[in-house]
Amino acid sequence: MKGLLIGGATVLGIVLGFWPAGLMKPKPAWWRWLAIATLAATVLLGLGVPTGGDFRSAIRTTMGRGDSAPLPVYASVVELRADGSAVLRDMTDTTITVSDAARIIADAGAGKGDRVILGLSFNRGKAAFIARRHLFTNPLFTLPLIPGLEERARNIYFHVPCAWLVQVAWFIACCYALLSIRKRRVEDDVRASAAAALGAVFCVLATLTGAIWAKFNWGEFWNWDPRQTAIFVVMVIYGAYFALRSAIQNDEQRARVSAVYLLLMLIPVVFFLFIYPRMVDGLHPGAGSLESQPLDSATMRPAAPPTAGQKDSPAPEKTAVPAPEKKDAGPILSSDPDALNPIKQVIFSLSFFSFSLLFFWILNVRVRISLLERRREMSRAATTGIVPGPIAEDIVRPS
Amino acid sequence: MEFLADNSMYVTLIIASLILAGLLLYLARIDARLRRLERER
Repeated sequence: MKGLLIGGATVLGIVLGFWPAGLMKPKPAWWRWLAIATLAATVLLGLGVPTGGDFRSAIRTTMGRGDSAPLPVYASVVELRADGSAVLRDMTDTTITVSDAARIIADAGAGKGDRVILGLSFNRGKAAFIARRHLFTNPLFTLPLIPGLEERARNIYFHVPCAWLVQVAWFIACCYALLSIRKRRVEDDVRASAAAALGAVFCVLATLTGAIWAKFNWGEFWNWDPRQTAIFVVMVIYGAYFALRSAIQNDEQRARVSAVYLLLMLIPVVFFLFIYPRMVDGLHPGAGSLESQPLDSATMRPAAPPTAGQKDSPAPEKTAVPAPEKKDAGPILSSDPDALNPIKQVIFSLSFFSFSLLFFWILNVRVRISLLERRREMSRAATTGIVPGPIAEDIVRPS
Repeated sequence: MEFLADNSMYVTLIIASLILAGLLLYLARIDARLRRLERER
């Protein structure tokens, strides 16, 4: 079900990228409205669905933080007491008396039987919860509170699709590179280079957003985590593509050489984005080392110290999902249905779909502009008699 | 930094706005290319 949802959304996004109208003609109005609507839904749901954890996840979260900043806990109100406390039962049927909660619940207009999300602080000395503020009454959907991630768990809807599009862009560029080599059409070269250009934009975005996320989960902006290393290498591969293109003056030669480069680099790009991060130890979920590393339940950090190469940066709190017993493939690819909760699956699929449409929309505009530029250049060359660069035939086919 | 560590929602907001800003910057660039084409007409 999960695979079908996420896979289906991804495939549908790419299919709708090419159909209707392809990359060289304007997309119809319904297509553009679909892109706008799904993007808006991604942002609204991704940022708007409230987080509400259970008591246990809240306690575990405070252990990672060591202070008493309030955490969102989702519970139904069992009883309001005269001393200002309230008896709350969370979704795992844990019942706890929380001080100050009755007043806060009453102030918010909620009462017995309502489901509320309250901001609770956990006092470790007394091992008791204190209510700080009311957040929601009877929310339609809630997201789980993940210790170590908290609201940063939402980044999965924005950072991950960017990184995915880096790969999609290179693959699309390769398809047109192949066509460009076989048919030698200007349009294929334009489409290939535009896809690569947009892929580079998403590569930079994925790297920057990942670095900010890393600062708050792993302690440093840059940790040389395998995925960070990989995206850096891919960025250099992208950069070399544009350096190569700008170094060749002749249009036809540039098309051919850069197409060959795209195809040659397909295997390294796939290797660095998909295989290398799973081979070696790392901080990202799904890294090679996690399958055998049980998480320490008190600190939510791997029980065994991380690899020797790491500095004194904090251990991977990002992996603080329930301790993986089988091979951990990360929350997205994991076969364990609980690894990504159903609401998160829906928002995640939506984000992949909407980011794909956004990608193809920008790509479409970009290709049309490039084609216009090329045509303008050619017509100017025809009227003035100045051909840009040496005539291709002489160089490419010397016979 | 401590504020951001405690209020993790703002980290998410920074990341989402960074993506938006990056794409808007790119949009402005291709818009400039289009305007140059239109001027040459």
